[in-house]
Amino acid sequence: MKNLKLKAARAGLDLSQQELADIVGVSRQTIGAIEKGDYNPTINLCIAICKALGKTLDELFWIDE
Amino acid sequence: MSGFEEGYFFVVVTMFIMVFLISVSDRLFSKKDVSDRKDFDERQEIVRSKGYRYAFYILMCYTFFKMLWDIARKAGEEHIILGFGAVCLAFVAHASYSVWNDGYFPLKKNPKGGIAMLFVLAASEVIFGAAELLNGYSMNRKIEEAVSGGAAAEELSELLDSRFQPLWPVCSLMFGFSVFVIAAAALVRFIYNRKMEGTEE
Repeated sequence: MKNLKLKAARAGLDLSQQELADIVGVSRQTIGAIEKGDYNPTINLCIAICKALGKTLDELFWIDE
Repeated sequence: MSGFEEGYFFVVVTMFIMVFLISVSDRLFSKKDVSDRKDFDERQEIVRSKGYRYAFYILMCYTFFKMLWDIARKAGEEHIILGFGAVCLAFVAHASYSVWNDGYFPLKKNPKGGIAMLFVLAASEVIFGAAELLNGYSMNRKIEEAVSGGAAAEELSELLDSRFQPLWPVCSLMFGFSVFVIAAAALVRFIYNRKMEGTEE
């Protein structure tokens, strides 16, 4: 499932996928795969992304039914 | 051991020693702190693991077909096996592509029954082929014992008439393996489609 919240949060800070990937310490393709919904990150990576974007886990990764 | 076999053995052992030395030196001389080692991220590690798995499957397929080839070659029937192998490969390519693009099973048909039939067919072909091969080997061993034991001409003639021909069991194993690949692809696709149906927005 696509992660539009992550994409919106990243765009809100005017960060490219590469820039976010560099901050978090992963490849650009991994950020792209997470946003597309092709990859489910580990909790550690989720926390690192949340810290980089200044959001909580719920705000970025919780799925509303 | 012949010269070729000695050389082959030497190359394989040397390769193993080199791989061992490289991996040990990497552990000894690279950074100790694991968090500093960012060669690959977590997604890349998973992708690479999947790659190793596919490589293993290919190696297993090669080993399996090499075994069948050796059996057929001993009986002088390798040309038939080659032809049948090409047909099996074409069959697998067509069916796998259709399965993966949801074009194998008809519109209104539940694929569960079809997948079950494929697995049953694959299992029966493999079981038949393996049983015939084992039966055939024991028959050939009886013939060898009769020949070395100096059996009477009549007994020998009878045994030679029922001498094992590996062609059909080998073809059966190849066909069974091909159907198994298609059945596995169909099952994976079925599970994937079910998961996608559950997460559609």
